[in-house]
Amino acid sequence: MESLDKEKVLHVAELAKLKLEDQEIDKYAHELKDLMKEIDRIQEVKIEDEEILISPSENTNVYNEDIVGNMLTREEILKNANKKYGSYIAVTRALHD
Amino acid sequence: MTNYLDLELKEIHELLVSKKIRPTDLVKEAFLKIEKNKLNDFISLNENALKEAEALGEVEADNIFFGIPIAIKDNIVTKDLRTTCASKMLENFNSVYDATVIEKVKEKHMIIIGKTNMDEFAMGSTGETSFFGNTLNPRNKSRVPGGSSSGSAAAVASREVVLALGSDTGGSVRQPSGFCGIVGLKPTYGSVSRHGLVAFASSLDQIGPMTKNVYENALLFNLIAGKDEKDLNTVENNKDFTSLIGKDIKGLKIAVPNYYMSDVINAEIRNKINEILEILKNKGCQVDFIDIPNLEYAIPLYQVIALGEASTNLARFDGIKYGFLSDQEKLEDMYNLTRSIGFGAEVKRRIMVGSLVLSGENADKYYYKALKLRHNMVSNFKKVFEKYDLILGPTNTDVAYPFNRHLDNVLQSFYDDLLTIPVSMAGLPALALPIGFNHESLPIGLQIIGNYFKEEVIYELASFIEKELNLDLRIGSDK
Repeated sequence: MESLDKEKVLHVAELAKLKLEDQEIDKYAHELKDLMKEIDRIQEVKIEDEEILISPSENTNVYNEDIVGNMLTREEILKNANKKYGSYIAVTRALHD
Repeated sequence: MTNYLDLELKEIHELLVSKKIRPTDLVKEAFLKIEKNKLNDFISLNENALKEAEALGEVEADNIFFGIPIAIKDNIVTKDLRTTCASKMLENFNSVYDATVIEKVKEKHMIIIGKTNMDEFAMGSTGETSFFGNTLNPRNKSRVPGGSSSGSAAAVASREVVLALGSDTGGSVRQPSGFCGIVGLKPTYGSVSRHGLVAFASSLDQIGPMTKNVYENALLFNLIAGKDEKDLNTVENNKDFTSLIGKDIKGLKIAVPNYYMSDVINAEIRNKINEILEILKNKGCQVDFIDIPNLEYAIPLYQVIALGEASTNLARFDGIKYGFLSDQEKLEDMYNLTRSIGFGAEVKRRIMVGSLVLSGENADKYYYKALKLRHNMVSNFKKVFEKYDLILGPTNTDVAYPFNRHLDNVLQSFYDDLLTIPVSMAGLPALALPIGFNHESLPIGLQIIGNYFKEEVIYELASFIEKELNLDLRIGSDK
């Protein structure tokens, strides 16, 4: 793993939707480098077998009956929202002129 | 102060049936103990607990769990009782539904005493990443309780409650159980519904029972295991997991991976494990030391899988539907500041690493390679279980250590789970069992790993060892 420069750390933070303060960038550059050095060890392993495992569950696919079950009420859905506008959740404007 | 919570579940039940005590006595005792112990092991107490117990006063105690105080890790959602995941992000979050395991707990009329402290979003091995401060280890308050199910382990060890639920992704039930000296099970992946467990790494997460003895652990597991249409990874499971408790263990075939007994492990722990192995041999068990390939890569494997899944799972925290919000004029600023302020340092570090290993070419280089290694690891464990009934080793590499020891070491929380992570990657069940104390009176834990959905065999051996050692695990009685 090449050392993580400032630009790379900021790119990763952008992917993770985080805003880093200037002093945090150096800290995370150092820490992420330590973690990636450890993670890079998996490149050493030689595995003949090409099979992959995404989940230890061996269940086959299950289809549910298409019936209406319990649903949350509007009040319940709104209960934990920070900003409300009438019976809607209010969000920051996504499109600008 | 009364001391009913020190008694065994069966004894408490008999007292309730004969009306010698009432559920309110138990709730009052729990709250008094929590107040007196000051372990910071609860984030929220259930203010309605006493009222709920009063309502049970005139009802017949119709099942073993009736009126029994239980503690719930704060990443398992409870209706109208705050669920924070020990994060500023969810400081004021009140779920509008109960997790499936909570429905089962309530059906049996258990009393939820409160929600226990933990590492933020279950990320950590000491409890120190909690937004709500450190949980203290009841056996020595200057030591970490382990994590991430820190408060659940501390509350059971100090007998503030009879039972607790934790969750285990890479060792979060077993590791604190080992550090606090209680019994904790990480069930087979797919045994217990994850519906209502706030997701960390979905292919690893399992809710597990944490108790003061083996029998009560099996009973609580009986209750929470089983199929749930809200978690399609769960399987039908109507077994009685106590069925082999007390049975003759002669002839059990036990494997001990050399990796689990290396120089990295504290010598006192290894000695204790060797003593147990001698007892088992004398009782007619076959005990073989074996090699399992690639275990040494379990930590980087875990980091890719768990942090990759975490970065995706935690993408849901955007400040809109629930959770902390930093209100900003620009959408992008709102997302970024909400998450930067709402998440603590450990969580941010982990989701950044997760984002990094999943991005662009890295997906092939790290994630796809990890999926192959994971398949290989499962195959290797399956080969062992073709010849053996159980795998044994220590739960932890060390005993509970002082606070702040590893603040500058970002790898430490992963290395604390050195011996628990391989099992999680394979989805196998494993139990942490107290087997004694070191020279500082700190508990030492044995880890008993079973084959898929064979928890009853784990309990069979665990109950034998528990009976043979006959340890007094109450705080203060280990001196």
